[in-house]
Amino acid sequence: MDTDKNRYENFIRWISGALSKEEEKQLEKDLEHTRNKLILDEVDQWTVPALNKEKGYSELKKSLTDTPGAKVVPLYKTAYFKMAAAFLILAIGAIYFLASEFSEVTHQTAVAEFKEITLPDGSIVEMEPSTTLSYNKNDWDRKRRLKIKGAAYFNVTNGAPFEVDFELGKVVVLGTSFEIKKFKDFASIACLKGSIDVLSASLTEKLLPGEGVQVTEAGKIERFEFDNAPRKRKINRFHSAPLYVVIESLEAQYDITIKSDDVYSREKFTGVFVKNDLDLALKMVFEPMKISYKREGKSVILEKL
Amino acid sequence: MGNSTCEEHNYQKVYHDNAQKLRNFIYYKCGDLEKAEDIVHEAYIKLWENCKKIVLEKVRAFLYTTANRLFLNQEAHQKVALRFEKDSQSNLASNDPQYELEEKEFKSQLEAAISNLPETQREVFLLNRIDKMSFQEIAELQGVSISAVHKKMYKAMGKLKDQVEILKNIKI
Repeated sequence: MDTDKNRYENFIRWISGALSKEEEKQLEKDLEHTRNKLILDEVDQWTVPALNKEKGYSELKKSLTDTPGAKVVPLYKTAYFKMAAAFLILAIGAIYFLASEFSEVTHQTAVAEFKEITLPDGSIVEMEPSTTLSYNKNDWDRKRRLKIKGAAYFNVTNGAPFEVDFELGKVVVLGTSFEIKKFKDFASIACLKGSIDVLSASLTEKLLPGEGVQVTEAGKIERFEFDNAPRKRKINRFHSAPLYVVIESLEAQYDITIKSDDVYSREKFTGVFVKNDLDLALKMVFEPMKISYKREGKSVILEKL
Repeated sequence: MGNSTCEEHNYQKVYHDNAQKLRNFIYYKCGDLEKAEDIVHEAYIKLWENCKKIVLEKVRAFLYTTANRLFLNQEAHQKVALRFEKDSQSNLASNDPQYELEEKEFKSQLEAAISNLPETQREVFLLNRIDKMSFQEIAELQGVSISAVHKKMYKAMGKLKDQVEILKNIKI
């Protein structure tokens, strides 16, 4: 009796050359086997055009420099090799950098300072205020790995795997554009383009554009969705973030101090604030939260309504 | 004579030993011979750039991983249309024009059906039949179990039989 399983096993044994002559003779009566044989007899005669190795190698040599291991400007001849990732990271919290090594590079911005740096592979990082970034420049060719505390927008070139450690976990770039916010015990990652993997202690989440996750120190992970309109650089966006996170972002952006009772810090805020107008920004955050405030120069005091 | 990938005679040998198979591998994925050769070219450049960090034993894995990543990074995939060459010497009566026509037709239907196979099934099928790779080698290349490769081969055959008209009409 020819069950599907038999059929499958016979096929595998035949194609692996494991059938005896008698067994093969038996199979010749089978229609499926005849069909299989017709296909393979035909395809087995086929060849692919041979590669002209001499020509190929001499063209290769033209593209290389004389010094082995030297950095060569790649031939981005066509639209194949598009710019990979762009993402934003916001992370405020404890510093956990590696002990200082000779090849460790650190960049830092002060409050209200913006800085643009170029990484060894041509990736560009636009650092927001109060941000520290570090990486090992010797490893850069093989594995691009950064640690961050603060906020930054990345434009990543194609190449070795690109990872960002935000202490509660890490993001692995698969050719994408995304945003990370990381605070004391809370991190939010939003995917803007392509796809990214977020790895935390307990599991891996894969994100597509318009999807995000929130990770807490307690190990809780929650997915969320958002409207993925073209990224607005002039605003700061939050999805159900604890208020203390928004407050710290305001302080960093505008170089102010916000005095508040701890009672507010855990309330959740979803919305945006502008980055170029302090009064408007304060209104955008505190009005929907029904928190009144008083601004005195570089200080803002919150009162309950 | 050293063992470094950065020494030209080693690098050149790596090219001669692997470039053709690597190109075929990418060709089966994208169906475009020129694109495949471009990708192989780029992969070898990256090998040269990183030659200090990659020992000769790891070179093949590096090349295949790099070439695969370059393939994945391409802009929107075009339709795959694979074509193969065949030795014109046939062992049966090749003077019969009717027979030759049927042969051509069969080949061309098979090429189209193979091009329409899902990518990994297509890879398994062609790597096994054209490049004569064993299922074990293919399993290592694709990073899957050998039984997964067997299943793909079986499914590929099933799809080909479904799609090729001439095969549907065969009776013993």
